[in-house]
Amino acid sequence: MLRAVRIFYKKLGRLKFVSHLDMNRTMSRLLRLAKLPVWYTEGYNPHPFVSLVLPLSLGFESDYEVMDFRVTDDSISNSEIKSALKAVFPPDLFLLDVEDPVMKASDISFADYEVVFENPDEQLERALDTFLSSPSIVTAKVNKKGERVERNIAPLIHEYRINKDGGLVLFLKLSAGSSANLNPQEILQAFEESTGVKLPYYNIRRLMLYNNSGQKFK
Amino acid sequence: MIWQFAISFFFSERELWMNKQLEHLLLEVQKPGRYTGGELGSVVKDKSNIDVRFAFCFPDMYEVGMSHLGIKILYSLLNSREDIWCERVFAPWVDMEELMRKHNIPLFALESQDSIADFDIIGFTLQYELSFSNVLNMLDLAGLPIRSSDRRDLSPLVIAGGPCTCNPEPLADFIDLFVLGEGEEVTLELVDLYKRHKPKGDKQAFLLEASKIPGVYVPSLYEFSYNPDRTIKEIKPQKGAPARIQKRIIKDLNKVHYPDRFIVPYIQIVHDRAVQEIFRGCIRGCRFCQAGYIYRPVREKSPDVINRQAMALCESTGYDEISLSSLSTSDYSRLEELLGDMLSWTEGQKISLSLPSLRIDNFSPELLEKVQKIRSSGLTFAPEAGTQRLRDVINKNITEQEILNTCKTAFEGGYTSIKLYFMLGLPTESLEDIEGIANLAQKIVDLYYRNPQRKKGKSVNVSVSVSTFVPKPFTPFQFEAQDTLETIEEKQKHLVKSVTSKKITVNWHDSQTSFLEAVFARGDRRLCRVLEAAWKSGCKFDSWKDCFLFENWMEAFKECGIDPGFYANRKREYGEIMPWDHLDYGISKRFLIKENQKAYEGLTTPNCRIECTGCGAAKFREGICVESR
Repeated sequence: MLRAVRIFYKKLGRLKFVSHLDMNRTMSRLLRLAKLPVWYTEGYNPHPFVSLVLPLSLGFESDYEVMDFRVTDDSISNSEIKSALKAVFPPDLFLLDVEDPVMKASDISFADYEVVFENPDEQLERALDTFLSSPSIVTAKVNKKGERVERNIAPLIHEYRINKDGGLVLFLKLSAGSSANLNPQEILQAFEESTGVKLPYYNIRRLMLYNNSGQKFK
Repeated sequence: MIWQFAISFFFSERELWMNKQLEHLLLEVQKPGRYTGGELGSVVKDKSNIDVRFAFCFPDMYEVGMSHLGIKILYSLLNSREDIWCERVFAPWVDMEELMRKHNIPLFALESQDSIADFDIIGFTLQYELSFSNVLNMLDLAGLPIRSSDRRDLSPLVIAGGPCTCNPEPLADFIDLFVLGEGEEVTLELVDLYKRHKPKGDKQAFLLEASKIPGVYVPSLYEFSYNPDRTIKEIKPQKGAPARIQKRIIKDLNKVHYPDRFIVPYIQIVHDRAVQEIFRGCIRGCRFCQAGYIYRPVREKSPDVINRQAMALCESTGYDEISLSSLSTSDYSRLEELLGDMLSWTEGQKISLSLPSLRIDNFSPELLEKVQKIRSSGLTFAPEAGTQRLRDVINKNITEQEILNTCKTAFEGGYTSIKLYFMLGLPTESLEDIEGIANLAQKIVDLYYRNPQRKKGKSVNVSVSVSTFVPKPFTPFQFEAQDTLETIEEKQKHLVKSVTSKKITVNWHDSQTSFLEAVFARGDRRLCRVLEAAWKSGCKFDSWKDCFLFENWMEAFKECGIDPGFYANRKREYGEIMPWDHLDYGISKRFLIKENQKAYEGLTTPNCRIECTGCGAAKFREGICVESR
């Protein structure tokens, strides 16, 4: 019998330079290496079915990545899967848990992010605060037809905090998922464009995913 | 234990996984995964326990270099020794190079991210002539003087191997020593000699000793003199260096080191699969093909060994595709047995087996049946020439009937797309031969429409790819002139005019790069200055269309007072001293002359399995030369 399996892991360090598509291939290979009875797609070119529930941008780290796949042998337990995967995961991919899926991938509504700025200057904290507290933050994109499309991203920012211990850390709770999604990079680019301030180097890490009632995505 | 030396034991989560400065730059470049290292199967060692640090350099980008089998073999071999740490280095793409130069980041090895200028040995693999400018660029990016004579210390020692070392002269001023032939044994011998000389650090003393190792060529120990007509007068060894340097070969391929694991990249590379070598050398002797001669004699691995090694590779990498590697897969003497063995486990594990380099004249029905189980998107043939006459000249022993028969079977099996490779500018070629290319493609199109079972509404596509013939050392055509660019252009136009069906598409390779390839393939050390001048004017990544600066190259030739046509477009006398005449690849010049004469008579030469034609490789007393036929 087919059984759905959901794994939770951290993606850290140099793996942040591995794109979503490349992660897909890497994960298929890791499942093969772990010799799990993974369900393969049918068709001309069968490959292990894997689904990374919410793509992570190139360059981001994450404390809470979620991937679904299926096993063809339902006698294998989640803890057996966990130890098989632990044995093959590279150091920068840290396996947290293997569980039965509770929610649907489409339930994802919010994501927490942390942006750590390196060597920020004194003014940055205030400038960020002023910018983020504005009721309207308009960004513009060029769509596939070559038209300029503007949108107000302020309603997609649900919470922000600026923390000053150990450098400058910006915490963001943003809309995420299939219906409305905001990439923290879009906010930071808008900040640079509207204020003319060049941001220092920063590292973005996704911290957590939630459903629309604010529960941890499970 | 897949992670041989897991770095996570030494560092906690967020610390020091990467040079901070580098990390910042990587967000600004395309495909940062090219520069991070840390892939599955990469080897990280503790520097303090290492005697010799070896930087294995592939002078092209990551995706290309990582696809190359030789680097995988030598990486694994060197790292199997506890006293050596071999790391990988690729040419950074132009965007990365610009940032590295701007921020003074020297060329680094992927595993340690240490600058390679501090390594003991820097080893380049020379796979094609158009990567030569990248060799200079990489040395410069490492902060090293590009000329061997300006690098006074023993370390880093700059060495090179690979097929282009069969005429390494255009790099003679830059590389300290070249390794001829197969590298598995001689590289370790060199490292051991280096270890003995390292305490003293006397480069000249080391090079003199190294020149006594069979297969090692130290170019600075040879003096070239020239005739008034610019041809070579004499190649004179100095200080007791050997007059002839013989390439190295591995005697028993069943016993030689083969990796049981590959580095599995995160980003997609050109050949992203497991690769299993099945034999070296080629029995065929196509007269234009350098690989067909310089890797002789043919030596096979046994099906058991291949099967065992292939299984281990799939097991350790997680790859779901494995390809058999050789110059001509269907010439493997026990192919059916091998495929039977391999398919018995690959099918169950959903691993697809791919067979590149199949010839179309020796397909048995049994083989065809097995191959059909193997996934293939299209069929590719290389008739190389359009008429039987010209195919006889180049000793490509395929008949038109064989090509058509295979296409017929393919069409019956549901294929609708055929790709054909040809060369323009082959010796004795006439316009009729070029029309022959179009005629052959047309016959294949007609054949498709004669198949009553063809799918309704499906059209056929015959794609014709033409490259420009490049005369290469150690082939019977090493004496030949390459067509001038003007002639090639006319021939390309004639081909396009001769094609009348819309089912046939014609593609051609840029002939300017083929011209440069021809200059360097048969060039001598007078070209070193040209290479340096061209590199200084910005030439690099010459095999990449976007980077190739033909005008800069022509300017560099002019600046150095050297006529490139002298090397590419001039017919050479049999008696002329070639820049590689002191290098011995087992193929005698007498044999090459005989083959060249036969080409003009339109006479073919049987392959090694049918009959020995005395090329000279029998002196290695190995493989097919000593096996019973």
